[in-house]
Amino acid sequence: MAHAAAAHHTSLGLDNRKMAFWAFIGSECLLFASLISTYLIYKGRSVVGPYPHEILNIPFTSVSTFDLLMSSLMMVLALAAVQRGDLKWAKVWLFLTAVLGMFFLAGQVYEFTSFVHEGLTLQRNLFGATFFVLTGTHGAHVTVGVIWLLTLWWRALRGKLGKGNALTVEICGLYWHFVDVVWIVIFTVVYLIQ
Amino acid sequence: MFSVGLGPIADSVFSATTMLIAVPTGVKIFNWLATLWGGQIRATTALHFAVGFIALFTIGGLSGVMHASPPADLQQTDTYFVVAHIHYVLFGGTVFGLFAGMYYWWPKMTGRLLGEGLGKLHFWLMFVGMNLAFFPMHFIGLLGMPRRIYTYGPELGVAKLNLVSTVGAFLIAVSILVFLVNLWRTRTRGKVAGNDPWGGATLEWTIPSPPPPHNFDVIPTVASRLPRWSMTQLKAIPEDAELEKPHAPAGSWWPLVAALGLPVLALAPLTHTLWVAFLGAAILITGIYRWAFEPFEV
Amino acid sequence: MRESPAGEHAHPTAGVYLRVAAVLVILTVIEVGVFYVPAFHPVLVPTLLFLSALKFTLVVMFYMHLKMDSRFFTFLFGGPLLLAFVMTMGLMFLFGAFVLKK
Repeated sequence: MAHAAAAHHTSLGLDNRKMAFWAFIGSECLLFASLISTYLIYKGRSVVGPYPHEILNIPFTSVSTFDLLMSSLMMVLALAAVQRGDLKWAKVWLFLTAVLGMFFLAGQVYEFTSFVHEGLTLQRNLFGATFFVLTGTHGAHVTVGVIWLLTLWWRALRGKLGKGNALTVEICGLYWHFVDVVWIVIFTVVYLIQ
Repeated sequence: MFSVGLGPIADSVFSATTMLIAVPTGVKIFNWLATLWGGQIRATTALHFAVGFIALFTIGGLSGVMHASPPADLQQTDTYFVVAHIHYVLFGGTVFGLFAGMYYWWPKMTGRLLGEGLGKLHFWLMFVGMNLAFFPMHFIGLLGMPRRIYTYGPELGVAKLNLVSTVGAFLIAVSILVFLVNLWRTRTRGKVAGNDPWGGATLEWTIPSPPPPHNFDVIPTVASRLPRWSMTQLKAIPEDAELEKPHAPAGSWWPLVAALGLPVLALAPLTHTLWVAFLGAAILITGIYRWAFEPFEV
Repeated sequence: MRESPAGEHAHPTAGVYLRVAAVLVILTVIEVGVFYVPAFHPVLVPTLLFLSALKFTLVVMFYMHLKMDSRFFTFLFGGPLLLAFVMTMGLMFLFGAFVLKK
């Protein structure tokens, strides 16, 4: 992160940090696929309620989805700003991305607590177990992303972000967009297809 | 697994694939034998463990192939026969291999050789102990002693063999003590290793022991299977050569700190205590941050 | 200072990003719309899957820059993605998700 040197020569000509991160994202695909598969396998097999159609709030979740999509836009604008050396806008967009991420998390917390109030817990039925593990893991990923974004924002405030280390923002972006893309899948598969 | 009622198709598939594993394994065994064949064998402790590994791993493989047959496995499964098999491959195989590696590379890692006398004592105690502990298990397993249950009635007739196993286990423990004594003594009284205590054929023996953080001053070009021994063919580096400065980060404790944060974090749900989660998360995050922002080069 | 080594071409402009964002929003609106309009229910599942796949592709290609980057990255991501998809389908078949219920 703090190297003054640019990327070293590599045999494929690709930055090894970026390559490592794409490999990581590949493995995350499989992690979320296993959680989504588990959800799909047990769908419709809960013995007791609450059931998805009774408890999932589509309008509310649509707003969350919109929020994450917009945060991806902010992220990519932040990257563009860093790549052209525009530190001022980089700070703005990084901060806004993090804020939108925090709104999403707040929405998730609200949704989870209201579900628990209505009797849907991890232990209640198959729906509760698979839903909370899947969306909870996703939420944990978003949390890590928010911390990462705020760290980058803090570095930008101290003037440590610029064209030379734009890659760090790019990699954070890859993570953040991936988390968004996973949510796209979850929103469709869990909320819309019931 | 053959006893859970998978059905003939699944059983056949697993049986066939299990037997197939024996083919590349057999190739490896012959590889290792061929590596020894025609070589100038010196009876070092590392070699003792290496040869022991080949023999014991083969025995473990034989009982493994016995497991590959569903009808035979129906008798062997969930008994001490399985325990015998796994310990021959894991202990006789992997652990002996690990010790061979330890005796061989200890001088490179630490700069001092492990004592040969204590090393050989370690080997023989461990070899005898291991066979005493695990060979009888083939028999007690076939006589019907179940796995994972250490008690048995006298009518099963496995008491004497179990006693033999116990003696073997204690011998293994003694051998480990011998090894630990060897480790301790070698710190101050071990022979200094220098670059190449064994006359090795590969390139790690061209650099000092212990190696500098960047390992090689110049990344060597390898042109043969035994590069150290064909060093005479390596040209000397010309005076005006453009040497790419070795580019390696120095060691750091922070990854370990980050890793230690995770078990603490995991303890929280295990003990139903919330504050432990925050402690674990704090250690993890601190470790990650200090690791990420450490200066790259020494 | 050197830029990252070869593998990246010219970056899209902010305009491209904004247009992608607009398309993503429209697709989401359509998705939610299809969910609420009863006439679409016979084709609900394939329609939603198609729309969300479109969104997925747009984010990955443009926001994650995969379209403009080296094909090796596509391979690094696409391989596991394909594996994940096949695994999910396989598991669903194995556990009777595609059995017609009377």
